[in-house]
Amino acid sequence: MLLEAVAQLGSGATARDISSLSGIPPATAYRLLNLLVADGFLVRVSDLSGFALGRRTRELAGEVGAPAAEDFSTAHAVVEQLRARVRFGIFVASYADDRVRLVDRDPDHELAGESVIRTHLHASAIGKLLLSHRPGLEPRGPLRPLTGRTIVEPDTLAAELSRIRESGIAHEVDEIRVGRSALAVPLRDSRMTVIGCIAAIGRTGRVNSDDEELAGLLRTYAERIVAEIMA
Amino acid sequence: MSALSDAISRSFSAGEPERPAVSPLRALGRRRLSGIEVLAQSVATTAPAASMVVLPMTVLRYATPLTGVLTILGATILIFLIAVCVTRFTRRQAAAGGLYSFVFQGLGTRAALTTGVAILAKYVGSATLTLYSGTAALSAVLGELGIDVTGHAATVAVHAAVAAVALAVLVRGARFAALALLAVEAGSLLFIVALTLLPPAGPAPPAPTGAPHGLLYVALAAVFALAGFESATFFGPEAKRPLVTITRTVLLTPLICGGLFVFAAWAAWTGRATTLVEAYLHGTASGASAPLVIALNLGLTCSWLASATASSHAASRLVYSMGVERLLPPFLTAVHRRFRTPYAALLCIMLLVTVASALSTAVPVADTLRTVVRAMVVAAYVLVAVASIRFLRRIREQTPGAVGWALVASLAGTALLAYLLVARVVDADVGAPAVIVALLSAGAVWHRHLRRRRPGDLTRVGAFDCAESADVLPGAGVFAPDAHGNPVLVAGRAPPRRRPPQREAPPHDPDAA
Repeated sequence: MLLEAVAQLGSGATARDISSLSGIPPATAYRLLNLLVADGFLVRVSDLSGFALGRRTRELAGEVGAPAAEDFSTAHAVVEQLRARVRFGIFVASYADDRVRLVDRDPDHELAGESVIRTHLHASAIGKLLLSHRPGLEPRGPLRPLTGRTIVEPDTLAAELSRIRESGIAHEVDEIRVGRSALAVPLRDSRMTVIGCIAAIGRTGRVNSDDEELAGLLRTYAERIVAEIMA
Repeated sequence: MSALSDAISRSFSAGEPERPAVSPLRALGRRRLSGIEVLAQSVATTAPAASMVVLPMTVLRYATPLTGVLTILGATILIFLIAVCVTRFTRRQAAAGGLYSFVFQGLGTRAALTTGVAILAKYVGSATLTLYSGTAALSAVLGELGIDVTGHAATVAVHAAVAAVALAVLVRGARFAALALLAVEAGSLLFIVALTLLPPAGPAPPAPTGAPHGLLYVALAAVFALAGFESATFFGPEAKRPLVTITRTVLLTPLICGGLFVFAAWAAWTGRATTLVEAYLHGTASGASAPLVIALNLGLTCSWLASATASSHAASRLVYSMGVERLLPPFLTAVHRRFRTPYAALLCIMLLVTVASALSTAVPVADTLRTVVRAMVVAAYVLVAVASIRFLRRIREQTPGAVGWALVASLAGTALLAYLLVARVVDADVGAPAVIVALLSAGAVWHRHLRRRRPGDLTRVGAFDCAESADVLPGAGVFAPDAHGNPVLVAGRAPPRRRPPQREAPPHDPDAA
């Protein structure tokens, strides 16, 4: 209701206006607005007097927008089997609409900075895998370094994306967060289109980019997940 | 289709801005510290373990036990009210300048500079005092162990060693530093609490000396012991979910530490603290066993040095913030590439604190410094309480409760500050009040100087971790250049306060026709 009020009032809506438009008492509205800002659904404008919609409101898109192309929830049981076998966080992402959407989050591994994966595709295994199969998405303008190891040279990124296309596996070592590494393998539908990925995310040193056993396990489960989704 | 789903579906077709808005503080490691690490920073700054020994000493010296407990309780309530005022800001912004940046949002540049000077004096001053006390306690430990470190050269060597360790910890990273501080503080706290819980033994508590303004000094000591609860606010840009974790820390720290201090005052009342205080004041001569004296001094050393480290840590972020705003030389904004810590600011603060502490072993200025630092704390708290009222009015989010409590807190703080100044003058000590007045007017003088020489720099004041393009739903925010041409998110309808004046069509001039 508060988000709807902000959307109606536009950028810079003040707390008082939002409160009166939504009919929520001021003290309650101010507290709720602060919580929505803390969680990134709203942002405050530069003089702090008003609000605008935050990028995280997009996460609500599944509820108000068009349904996702594939239903990944049918594969949840298979994903849980994999989680029981490895110590890393196992995440499934959908690439519907050419963007990253985590459709199965590991309940035991909190993934900090989830929105950064969506906004900085060049910095994560999940994002690079998407970029490597959607040539039109490659970021224009300078690549922002998130850590010292983020790939910021366009040429280096292009080489990395072609390597991912050839090997069918994407690595990430300290690129989006220091101390975090990941492996991601694509989920391909019957026409070999990449519709998403399954990723193992863990601490650098535990998840190794040359861990063939883990890569093989991910590939096996990627096939099983696709089989479940397509069934 | 609702306006919200409309905005969301529109966002997928909206392009990213050519020049994205970025936070001025993004060079620091953003979103790294967890809630417990932020709490560690705040608790370590207040040094509860050391205060649990020093505060009963002050109570025993200046007041009767009952008034002592009540005064400490009152001071805790006052500080909690201030903390509530601080949360008005921490719920709405994350700034590396802490109270300084908050006061700007409410009272403008001049008051912000006054607060900045006061807070810097407070943090550097209390880091100096705690480093001084910490190295003295460390020297006592070494002395008990048979290592003589009483000479000038030895004192300097101990200082240098302590400062080097603290600096290394702080540069290594805010997270690492917070965990180290937490471990040290928790250890010494457990130890002191355990000692206080021992049944009363030894001599009866000495009767208060009845010094004039005893209650004032107990109240100030309690306020000062609790001061530093706000040190987490300097780490807002580096914390995860800062608007939640920092707010929680600011509210929790005074409650935790206030509770411990009331407990310590009760211990003084029942005579349980006597052993501790005597052992602290007179060492083994008081009849305490040597291991107890060593352990006590070790606990105090840890608590004080952790506090000195945490205070320097907070001061470095303030100096960094002022560097970003170009009020201080820009070299202070240098950030370590790997650890993402402002090493230049840390180095400067640490050097200043170490030299000041080493000098104060030669010149007895600790009493004056203590009075000045306490006055600075109270002054900064009054300013932030007043600023919270003005801030809420400005953004039109004031509620009667918020304004009322802020008013009570600022009046109580002002009364305390005025009483302190009067009491010092009555006691024929004009040195400390002179320094206090000079420091409080320094901000205004600085403001005047900047307005004449570099008026452009004043518009940079108040830098905080503002919304970046990447945080805003594409197409849902309006970005406009600020006074320095950097894009910032602004209100779409009303022109923002800090936008450069737009050139308007010249008014119709009848003479020109």
